[in-house]
Amino acid sequence: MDHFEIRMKDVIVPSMPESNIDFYARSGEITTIIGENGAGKTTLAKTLAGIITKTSGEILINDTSIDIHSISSARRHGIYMLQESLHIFPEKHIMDNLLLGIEPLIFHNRLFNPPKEKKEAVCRSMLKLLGLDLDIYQMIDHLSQGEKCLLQIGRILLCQPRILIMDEFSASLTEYEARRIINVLNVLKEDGICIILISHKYSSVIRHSDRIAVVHKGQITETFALRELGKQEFIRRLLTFNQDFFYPKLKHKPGKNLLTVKHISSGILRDISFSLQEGEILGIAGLVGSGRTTLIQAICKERSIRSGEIIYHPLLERSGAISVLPNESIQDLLFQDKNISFNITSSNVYKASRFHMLSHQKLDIYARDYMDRLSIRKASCHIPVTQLSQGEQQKVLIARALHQNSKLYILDEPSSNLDMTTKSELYNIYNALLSRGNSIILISSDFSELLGMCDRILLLKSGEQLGIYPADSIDNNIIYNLIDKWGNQNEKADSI
Amino acid sequence: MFKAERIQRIKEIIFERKQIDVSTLSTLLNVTEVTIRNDLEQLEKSGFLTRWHGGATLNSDLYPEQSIPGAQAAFPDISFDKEKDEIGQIAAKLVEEREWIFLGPGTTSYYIAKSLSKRQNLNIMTNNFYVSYVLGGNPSINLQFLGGKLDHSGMYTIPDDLQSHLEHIYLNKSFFSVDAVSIDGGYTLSDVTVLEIIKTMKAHCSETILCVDSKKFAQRAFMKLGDLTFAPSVITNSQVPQEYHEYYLKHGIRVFTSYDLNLLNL
Repeated sequence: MDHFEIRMKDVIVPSMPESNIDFYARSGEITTIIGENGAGKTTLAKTLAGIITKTSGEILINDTSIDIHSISSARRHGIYMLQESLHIFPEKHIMDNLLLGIEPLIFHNRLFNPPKEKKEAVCRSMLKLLGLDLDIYQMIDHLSQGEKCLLQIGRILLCQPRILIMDEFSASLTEYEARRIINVLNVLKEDGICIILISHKYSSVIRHSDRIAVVHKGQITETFALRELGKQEFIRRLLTFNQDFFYPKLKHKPGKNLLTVKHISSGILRDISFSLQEGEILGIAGLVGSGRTTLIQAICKERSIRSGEIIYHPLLERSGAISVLPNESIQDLLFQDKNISFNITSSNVYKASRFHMLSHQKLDIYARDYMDRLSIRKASCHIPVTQLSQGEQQKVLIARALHQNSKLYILDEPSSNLDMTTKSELYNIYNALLSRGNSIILISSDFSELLGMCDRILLLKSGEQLGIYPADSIDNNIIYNLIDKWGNQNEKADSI
Repeated sequence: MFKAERIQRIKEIIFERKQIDVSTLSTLLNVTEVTIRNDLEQLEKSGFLTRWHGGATLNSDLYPEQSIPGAQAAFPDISFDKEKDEIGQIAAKLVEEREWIFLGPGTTSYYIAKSLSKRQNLNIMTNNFYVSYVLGGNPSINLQFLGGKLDHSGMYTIPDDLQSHLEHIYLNKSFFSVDAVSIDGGYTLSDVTVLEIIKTMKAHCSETILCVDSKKFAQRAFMKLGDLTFAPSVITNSQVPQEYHEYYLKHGIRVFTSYDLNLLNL
């Protein structure tokens, strides 16, 4: 593919009328746009992909102005964008998910459905390129998040993009899956595709980029590139983003034994034992496929256990005593078309009812009270949850769990996609929960988070318990080495 | 909402939260601040609460102060401050057994001492009379009091020659509060002697922890203690302004914020 450069010049968009965007990216590079929540990263990318129409300014490829006013006009220039949430066809197999709707583009056959063999061949070669060892007739629903994300990339690759924009793709993925996608992106980069990533400062993704653009309040305030600065200087600049985070860890007085898991086996889990006390935060470190989800399901009695037993303290027998924030996109966990008040109080409406009559006034008072306590900074409790930022949505979920007065909180990757301030706020909320005698099980693939916040860490690998360690007796490297061998292989990429 | 019902609600809310500001009440109940002020005035007359600028506190005789066996009850002159109370609880969690702790001047230290008063095997050094008042009743706490000239307004002593006092002494953690914080101005104090005490103690301490309740942000006092990076850990409330929280984190400062999760029950 030919070499090209894309440039946005003085672009102004309706939602940010006071800032003009100047952006530059080139083929054969990974350009990462970083910035705080709400700084305008996604707006920038959406303008480029034609999802948001610009009010003025121009977009140039190799100094020729191109007209982008809609998604299809952007695609005509080979600009494709992968949005933050996954868009797949559920209950369809992989081939359909790759090809549906774009057959004419690939096979240039407008009238008839292309022959099955041809379609299969195209899909197989794509799966090979993506490094996926899957049957093309397998249903997509059973795939992991990472595989679904790869398939989405595959679908776009079939359209032969020149510019591929990916919005926070690593948000819902584990570190391992994210690396797998980065590897694919590196191959694509060599083929001369211009890749634009949108990310947080603290994401591991930025280590793999060639060019960084920092967005602040809708404007690009800083850009630097690997080829201009040289490797050493570039890495030094990156390091300034990636300062150590200081975890606000407090020691809480442990209370009664809430939960005792004795030698349980269920699904892929084999012989797991641990106990959890009031005021304790237990970390579970494990990659995807380590049985983390199975373990949660077993604790919630959603899955039967083959052997062993789980002993619950009477406090946990009440309904609503265990709250789970699963590792799904927040969109699936909130009532999308409802307001904040509804979303928070839905876990226990009886609290605001009397003689089976519901008082909306009381519901709203409760909701505003939670918003005040958890600093959800919005003017009203009646605005739809879709208008909240990720961190605020996460807080709404915690408020909902609080509203049913839960005792045990199981949090699965709760802070994977949050900026530093929101993270710090969440950690302090955990502290407040613990000091009230609640317990937390924190599941994360960010090991430094586990080390920073947890009292003890349980290491899981493909269903087996590798051990349970006090958090102050181990460090990141030990976990990596224990959990997986690829931790060693990729250490070079990691050491940045 | 009718007035009688609203006053009932305000009573319930203040009873649960002990202290609240007018703007929060007005958003909670969805009425204007003027209305809230009138209601609070009425409640103050009836002796239910005490108003202060921008808010109100439940009168302390209406709720039983947790009686601490072996220790003294609340210091008579100090009016209840919920934010400082929360900070005190967090600070107490940072204190480990057998460590040497310094509690500096100010009422925040009083609240830290209050949270510590039931603990055992603590070593505490202070020049604050409030602290000695609270902890003096607990014989399992080893208390060192620094003598000197009394500052009447703050109830603390000004040691004559602190430097030589501390010559061979090392402490694990010290807790101080400041009068005002701003991003450009750093930490500022209005009292020169307190500033000297903090500076001297810092050199003898492995960790200095500043306790700043959220009312003190974006303000300036008389003398500068240091930049916002002066202490590696800060304890504050959840209402800390976002830009300060962000500034702290960007400069590698650990931020503890209190969240009050004792929820409403209407």
